[in-house]
Amino acid sequence: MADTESSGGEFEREPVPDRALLGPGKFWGMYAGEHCAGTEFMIGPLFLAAGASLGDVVLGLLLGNVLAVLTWRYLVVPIAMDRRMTLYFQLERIAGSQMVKLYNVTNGVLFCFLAGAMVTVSASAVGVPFGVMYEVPENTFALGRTDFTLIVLVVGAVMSVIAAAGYTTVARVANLAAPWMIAVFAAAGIVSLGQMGVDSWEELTDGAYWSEAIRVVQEKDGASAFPFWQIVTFAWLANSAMHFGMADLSIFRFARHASSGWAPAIGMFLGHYMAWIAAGLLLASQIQVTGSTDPNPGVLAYDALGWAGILCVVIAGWTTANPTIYRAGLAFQGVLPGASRVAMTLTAGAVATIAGAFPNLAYKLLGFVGTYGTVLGPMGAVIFVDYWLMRRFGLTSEYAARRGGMAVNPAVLVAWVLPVAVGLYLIFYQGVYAAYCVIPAWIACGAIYLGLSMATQKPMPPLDHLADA
Amino acid sequence: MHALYRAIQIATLLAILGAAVAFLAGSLALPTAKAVMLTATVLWFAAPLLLLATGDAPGEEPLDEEARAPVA
Repeated sequence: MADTESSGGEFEREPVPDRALLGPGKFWGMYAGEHCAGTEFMIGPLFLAAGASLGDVVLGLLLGNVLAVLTWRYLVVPIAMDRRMTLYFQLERIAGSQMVKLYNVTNGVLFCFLAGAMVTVSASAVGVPFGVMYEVPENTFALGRTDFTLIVLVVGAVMSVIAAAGYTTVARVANLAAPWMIAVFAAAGIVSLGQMGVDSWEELTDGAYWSEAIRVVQEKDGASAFPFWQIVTFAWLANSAMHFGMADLSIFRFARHASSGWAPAIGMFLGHYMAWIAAGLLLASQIQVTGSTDPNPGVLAYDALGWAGILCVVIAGWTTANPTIYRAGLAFQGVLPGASRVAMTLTAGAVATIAGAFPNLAYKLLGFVGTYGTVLGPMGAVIFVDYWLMRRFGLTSEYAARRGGMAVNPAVLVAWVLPVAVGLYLIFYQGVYAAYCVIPAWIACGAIYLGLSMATQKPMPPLDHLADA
Repeated sequence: MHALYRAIQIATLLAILGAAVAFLAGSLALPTAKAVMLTATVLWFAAPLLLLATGDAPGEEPLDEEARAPVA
């Protein structure tokens, strides 16, 4: 395993020095590959299945993705380029070492569920040649068909073993595959239009093929709606753990120029715009051609693109599930430092595989992504407040480090847990749309952290250099 | 060798998109378009072997996602 070969293997506990800074090209390449994932095949059809109109999808995703890019550029990049530390090291200095472990294990569990959805998507494609279909049971924690569950177990085991064996090879395959996957996604949309007989600009913009597909879905499954602002919020906050949650401090600490902060645009507009719309068109086409409303990613891709589509779903799922399982393993290892990375990665892979065996979890991806952001996003507000506001209010930034390495900064613990608990209550018990909870939880977390710091901090001498403590 | 590698990459991407557009335009049957896409896919993943065979290094790698990995 070449852990130390990657750029991320260095400077984990110190600011990135000038000699290690990277130009914008590196960031554009990474974001292009990262956001063309197997789950895009799932999310696009779910928009249609949820009843989102074509106009709302086209304009809502546009606005949401613009907001996401602006959030990366103006929320994450200034802090990343000034402090040049990973999220984890900054959190440790602000919140304390044990608090970071709590965040790590939460992060790891959520990574496992995300990877589980990717395993499900890949299994849906692997099952196609064997005639094994991905079917969604009614209950959330009900298994699918036995043969599909077996394929999930095999796919999950293979992904886990590869993730445990190392990261470098998968990263290279992912980088190699990224442009091809983008082309295949685009081809999927174009072929779907051809299958639906859309051959003029008027027919394309009229969108009758999309609204007819929604009508068929709703006749079968009952009326549902996914209005404009839900789409905007979903697109904006699909990666909120990365921007509002500041996970991408760890990426942009390497940025030489602030212009690198625009790089997520390529991931958003290829992966979360073009690919989502193309995948939605796959379902619209399937409904028109076969009448089936089943958003099975493998079947959708195979019907439009043949074996190239199957390979795309499998590779897109594999290349994104692997780093996710790998990162979950590292998160668990952070909690149990005595355990080997291989054992922890295999544990994470096992959890992801078990999650993947429940098809309903992948089917509820639209809700899961919002929940994921509600849980992890608020911690970014702690970093934001610590960087921009603490000194302005006469408080000490990086308080845990300045207090001689306190284990848990109670102000951070309460500021994180309280809004997240309220958010989860609203999502699971009041039925609030999950993505709507992310920003209120983020603001509440920042405000509580600031207020509790004012109430609990003891006076400290000024900090001359961030890395001194 | 890098020039040939890049040429193959560009040709395969164009073949995938071209097959889709040709199907949309009605000038290519779907099974043929699918066959073109599969062939292009095989070429795409085989092309790096050219570089490996000659010991040539591939182009600059983008920053990988491990930079975001938690500190263990």
